[in-house]
Amino acid sequence: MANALSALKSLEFSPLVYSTGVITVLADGIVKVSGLDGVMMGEVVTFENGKEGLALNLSKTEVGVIMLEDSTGLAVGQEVKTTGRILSVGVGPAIIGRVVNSLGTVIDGKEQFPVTDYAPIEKIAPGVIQRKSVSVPLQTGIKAIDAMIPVGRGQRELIIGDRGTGKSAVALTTIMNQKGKDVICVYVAIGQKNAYLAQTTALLERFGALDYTVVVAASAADTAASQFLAPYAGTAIAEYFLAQGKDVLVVYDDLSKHAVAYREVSLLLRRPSGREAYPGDVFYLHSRLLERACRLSDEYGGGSITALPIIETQANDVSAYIPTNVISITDGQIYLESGLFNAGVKPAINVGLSVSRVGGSAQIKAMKQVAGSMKLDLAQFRELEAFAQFSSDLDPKTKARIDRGQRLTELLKQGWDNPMDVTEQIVVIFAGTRGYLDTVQKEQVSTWEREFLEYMQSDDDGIYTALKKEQKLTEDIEKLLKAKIEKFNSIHSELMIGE
Amino acid sequence: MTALIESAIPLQDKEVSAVKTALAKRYSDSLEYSFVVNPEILGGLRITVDSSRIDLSLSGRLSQVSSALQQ
Repeated sequence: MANALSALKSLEFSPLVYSTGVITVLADGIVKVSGLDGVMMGEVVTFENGKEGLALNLSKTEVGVIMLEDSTGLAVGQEVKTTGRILSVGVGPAIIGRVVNSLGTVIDGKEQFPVTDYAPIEKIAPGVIQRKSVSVPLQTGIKAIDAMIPVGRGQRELIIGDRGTGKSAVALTTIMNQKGKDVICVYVAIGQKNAYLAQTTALLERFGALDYTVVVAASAADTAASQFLAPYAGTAIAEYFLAQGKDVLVVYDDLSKHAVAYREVSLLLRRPSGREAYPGDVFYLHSRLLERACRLSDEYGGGSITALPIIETQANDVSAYIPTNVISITDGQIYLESGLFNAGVKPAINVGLSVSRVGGSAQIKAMKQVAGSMKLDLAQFRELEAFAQFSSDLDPKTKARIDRGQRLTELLKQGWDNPMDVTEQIVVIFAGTRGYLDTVQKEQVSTWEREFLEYMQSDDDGIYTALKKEQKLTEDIEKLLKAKIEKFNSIHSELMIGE
Repeated sequence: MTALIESAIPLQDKEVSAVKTALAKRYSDSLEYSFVVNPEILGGLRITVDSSRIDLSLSGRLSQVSSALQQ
């Protein structure tokens, strides 16, 4: 009751001058309207029953409107009115922890959160002057990524691979790792099965990630229009927090389904189609979305939006239309291979083909110091991998390269539900790249890692604190760490070779 | 172009000329006028020129109130 009274008191009557039109065609989620002179592109229009639509096709004789809600109650001949506003999502601080749809309405069964602001779905990305270069790391908690393909706050890093290679898992591990790091996460689910979405939300809740995450969901059961708008809604929500100077992570899972939804909407609007029947502006669809990820300079608040779009390839083909489009837009890609996944390398990251165009600027000095040689070691190992079966017949140098490569590969394997803190990553990668694992049995490397981290947890000789403070590997820290590892290796002879 | 002017009750002569003057200024002198009584708008005026609508009616305001309450 109080809500109603305050709503009445604060009611501002909207413009009394608007445009009207008449529905001429109503089908497939698209409404064709005659009249509606002066309607803007992307303007919200209302139907007689109060439902809303979005004007997307402006032509001489008619306006193509996509329905934002279902079509019940609409009929040909009804009146359509313009509203003078562009599509926006209602946001507020209480949106965190909720599951919303593309229009900002909650769908998790609880009460609507109080809306304090409206964030526009379409917005021009910040220009060059407003930005600052990416220099702060976004820790994913995944060793292979943080060491060799580091992601920075404000970067766009694509996660690309076939179905079932662990793309969503990489994104979810990253979200889980943002606990306590003052990063707000937005997970946009496009075209996913409702059951899978429920599973994902339950997972986020279980790991306490919903305390800092918003889920925007347009499942496979939702209209193509809803799926088309979902990533923009997620970005709008992220921009609300960006304006407050916060760091935000947005995951788009996945943009392949997004392109398909847009293709459906475009074809129904009778727009001309191009390659693979996608509309001509499918590149712009993604480029304008991803350009909104940025790092702002201090005078504009200093916040950032990091984007992790996901693309699903068919048969590992990264040269298909949509994958090449998105690869050229993003600042690097994490390439997941089904071959590696099936061989047990999880996360199935192909380090050779993956790249981060921000690179070392997004790493703390300590990580650069320990992981610098790892990419090269692994590259050399990959060249010699075919000879690993003949290991007894090889010269010592080649054998050493293969041994090192095998141990580093084992070290980089990680459970999706086990994001690792960056200081722990540094100590284990230090052990790997400086050769302290060369004497450990290959199959025992993961056990070594687990037990060594437990050993460090009980007493780390102040190494973790020193690392957190210095952010780099000083001589003293190195000395302490070396001693610690050597001591651990001497105690645990059961993990060493030759026992 | 025809301007359709709807009112809830028949308009007096001076009201009719006031409306005509205002509309002529906004559109053009060659505008044709059609005055209709439509009790459904409850009060005020509702003017439609082609697809442009100027809604100064009571029913228009009431529908805004009802949608504000629904939210």
